[in-house]
Amino acid sequence: MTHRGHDDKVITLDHVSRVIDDLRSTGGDPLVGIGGVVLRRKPMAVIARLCRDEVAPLRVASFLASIDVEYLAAHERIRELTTGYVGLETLGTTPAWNARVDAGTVTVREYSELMYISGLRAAASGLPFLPSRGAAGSDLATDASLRTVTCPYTGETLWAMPALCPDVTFLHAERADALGNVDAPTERDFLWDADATLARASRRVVVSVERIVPTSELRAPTLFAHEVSHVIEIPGGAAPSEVPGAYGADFAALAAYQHAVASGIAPIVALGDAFPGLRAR
Amino acid sequence: MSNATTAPTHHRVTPATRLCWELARLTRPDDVLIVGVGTPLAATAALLARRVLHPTLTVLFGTAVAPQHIDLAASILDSTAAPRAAVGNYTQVDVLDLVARGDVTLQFVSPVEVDALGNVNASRVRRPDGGWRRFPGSLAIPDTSALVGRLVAYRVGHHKRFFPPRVAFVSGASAVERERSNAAVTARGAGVTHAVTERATVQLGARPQLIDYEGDLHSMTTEFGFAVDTSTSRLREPVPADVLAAIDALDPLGVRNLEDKDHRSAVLARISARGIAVQ
Repeated sequence: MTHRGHDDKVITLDHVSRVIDDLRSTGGDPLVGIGGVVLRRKPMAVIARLCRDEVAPLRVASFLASIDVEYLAAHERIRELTTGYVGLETLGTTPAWNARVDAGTVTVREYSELMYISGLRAAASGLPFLPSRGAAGSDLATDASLRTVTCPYTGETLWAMPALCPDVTFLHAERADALGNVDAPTERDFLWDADATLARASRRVVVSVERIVPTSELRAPTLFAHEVSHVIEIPGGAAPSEVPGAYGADFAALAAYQHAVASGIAPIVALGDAFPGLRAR
Repeated sequence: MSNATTAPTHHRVTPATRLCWELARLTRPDDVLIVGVGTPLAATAALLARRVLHPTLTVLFGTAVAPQHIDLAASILDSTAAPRAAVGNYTQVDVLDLVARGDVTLQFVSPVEVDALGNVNASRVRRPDGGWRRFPGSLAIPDTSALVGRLVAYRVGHHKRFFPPRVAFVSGASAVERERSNAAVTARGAGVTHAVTERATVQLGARPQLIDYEGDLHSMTTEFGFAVDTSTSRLREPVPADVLAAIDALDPLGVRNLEDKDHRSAVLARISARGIAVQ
């Protein structure tokens, strides 16, 4: 774990790429976790800055991916993805990502929800694996080369779901203090807790927030200072995804993006037109 | 309720409306039924089953437990609508543990393919050039196929492609498949036991049976990629009027039709016209 004391954790967007650079400088090939759930709480400002800074293509884990992976794919900043879903919910699919997949320029590691969450729980528990019966008989288990263990008490054969431990994870939340205590969502939506599970499996955690507030104004922290490496204040930092309780997803812009790509405009151009705020990050 | 052609699209017996009723009929009084977020047809079917068939049915709407009076249209745009309407909310880990314990007994799923044995594919199919065409992803289907009591697969638009002899990729394995393949890890879930379209319901397994159908029986049997036993098949009856009224009360904007590509844009226009606020 890196730099998770109780001192000031505040950085700016200008420092985000350095987090990746630091990991690479030690010879690593970092796995980057991205939080949020489909079109909710995606750390889009951070992702846009990574693209603008032209970081070398990343290995990413994003279980319920959407515009996060689409943005990285359009900018050719992703080369491997561990995921269970990539799409834009009722708006349809992700054209830039799909094109990269079809072209064979990215590696897809499709995980089931239990494969993914068991991997995170193993990592969060400091264990090399977690036993599970999930995905039994499926081709996903075969593709992932899952190995088995025998229960020493019952003799049952179980999957040994390998620990999934991102080297750094980027999240977006509504509020945190400067020390890195992060409030739970004001409005509890579908899978509101998923980011905390991902964070606790990760070696470093960088949280962008709508507002940095005094500790006394936090309502119900779900991540704590000793679990968080850096905090960045970025109002609107999840747009065009939703921050429940703060603002909704920009469905109109997302639909405009879909329409533009369907009309033949290159995704990278269409993204810039539909989301000029991201381009400026 | 009217079937007149002049009625708004969502007030007619659309394929999605028919599917809601057929799915509801496959529920049992003591089921713990989970439906995914972003599957309004399955959600409508679950709420319909609870309203007109089994008041004791437990419905999990994603992580939201037993939501009451849920505004289905609002839930499309507002991810907090279902949690606010619920008795309470599980965490993601809670729900997965519930599934892993075998305490969820039924799930409605909408895969890309389902085969005779009840294996489902929600991941990818072969393109004509031999490459793979990927779909958004299988989410928890690989797990629930193994761990949930039984799954029911549904699809708007009956097509032989949906029922291949063998799925191109096993996202979720049926119990028969796991037994036949001597799967390394065993599990108690049955996998997909039934598949439902607006035109037929088929029970899957070693000897698939056509339960009911619309239209001509002989031509119906040719619209599967595998043989179906028709010895006990029966014609479907019209959706009862009181059921149509219940569907309309549960889903007045017809958001169940979002899962029908022919109706999607009209539904989105209705939702937009209503001006549903998103937080």
